[in-house]
Amino acid sequence: MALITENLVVLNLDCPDRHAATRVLAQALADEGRVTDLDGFLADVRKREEQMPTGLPGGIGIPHARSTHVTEPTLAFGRATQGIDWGAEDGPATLIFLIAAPEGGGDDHLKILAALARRLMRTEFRESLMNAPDATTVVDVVTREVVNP
Amino acid sequence: MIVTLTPNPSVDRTVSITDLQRGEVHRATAARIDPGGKGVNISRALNAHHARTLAVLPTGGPQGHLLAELLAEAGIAVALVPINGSTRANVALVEPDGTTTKINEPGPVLSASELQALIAGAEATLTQHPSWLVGSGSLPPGVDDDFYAALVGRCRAAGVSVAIDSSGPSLRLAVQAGPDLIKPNLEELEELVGRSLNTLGEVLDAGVDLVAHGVGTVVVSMGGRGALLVSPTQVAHAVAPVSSPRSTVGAGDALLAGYLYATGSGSTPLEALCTGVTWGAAAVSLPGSRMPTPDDVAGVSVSMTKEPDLTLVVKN
Repeated sequence: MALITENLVVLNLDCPDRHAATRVLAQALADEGRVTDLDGFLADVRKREEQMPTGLPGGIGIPHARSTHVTEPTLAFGRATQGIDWGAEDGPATLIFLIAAPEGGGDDHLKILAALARRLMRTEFRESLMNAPDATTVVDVVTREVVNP
Repeated sequence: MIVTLTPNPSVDRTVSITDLQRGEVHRATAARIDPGGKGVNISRALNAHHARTLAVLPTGGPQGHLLAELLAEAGIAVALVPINGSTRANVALVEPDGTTTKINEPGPVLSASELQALIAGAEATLTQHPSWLVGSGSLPPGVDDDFYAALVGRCRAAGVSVAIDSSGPSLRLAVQAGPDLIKPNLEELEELVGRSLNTLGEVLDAGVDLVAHGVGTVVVSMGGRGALLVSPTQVAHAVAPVSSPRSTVGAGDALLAGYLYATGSGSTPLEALCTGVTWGAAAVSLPGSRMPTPDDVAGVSVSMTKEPDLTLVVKN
């Protein structure tokens, strides 16, 4: 199954805070059958966020969890044009990836996370996500740059 | 690709407090966590320059899990060697005037088989023909001092360039195994050669001794006095002024990362020395152990000479 699909892309992610935004993306994962227990999964994501928010320089948020409530490695993407505080020093996040990996998936979770984070350091990649006109374009960009680089 | 091996990595917790008082309860005003360890820092600096790097490290326990996640969040590819003990957590307490109190755990004790797995984990990367493999930082408690010497031997047998940045007996033994590069600071070099080094001339003599004993290149980092490179055919001194220093933590790691990055991309050793000194100076301008990005190094100007002033006093 694909790491990301059109149904896992939210182009107008306008939420008051990062927890609300994470819930919207996690709901998309649940709707697609990738997450079996929404609240259980959100609690696992929150454990990491409470240690320190996962905001990165350049307007990025990458909440993630390896969780027993996840059926297969999946990415959900949200674009928050208003910006949501994700703890990064240089300002709020506009591009948010929620990374869900099943417990016992070994290092797959880390590999996806690292590959994605590496791409997100590139201005061109961020701009192509910012400017993507529709969900299909986002899926194409992420598949090309992260899944099959 | 440049492979780093960090035998004793850490999760570094930096807690800001208003005023440190023994025996009192303190309320933190801010806290952050960073992946820590000298080899880990080198990978972070390389990654910040979009250079391919792989960090080999032992991880165990919840802190080990967190460390692996923090590295992944930074975009760093890792080869994890699972251990039964728990990865250490170091704490730095920072007061408003910048005074920093550090509490470092010794780190987990690794079993003989875990140590073998760690060396094997590093050795497994050699088939990918990295431009460098660098072993960096302290060894966990109980590890034999010949750990880095063994690493040097494996790399040499595979024809992969190997750099060691360590101190004390483990560095001494590694030097005897003939590494391609070592990057001691002044203190570590003094310990290695067993004498006090006060001038650039004395540092040069120490470097020449090491090269005569089989080390490929010696790059000595000397803080504000820049760095001296000594190889069988070359000597050079490079320095870059830092107008507003913020933290020297990790500056030596950034210097080594810059040197390895440059030589791995085809630069000459002297060009690489300049790159290294530039990265090191940029790191000093950044808070904590933050590693410089291309933007951070762009504003640094470096000067290099092949005829250094040997009377220059290098000690504060």
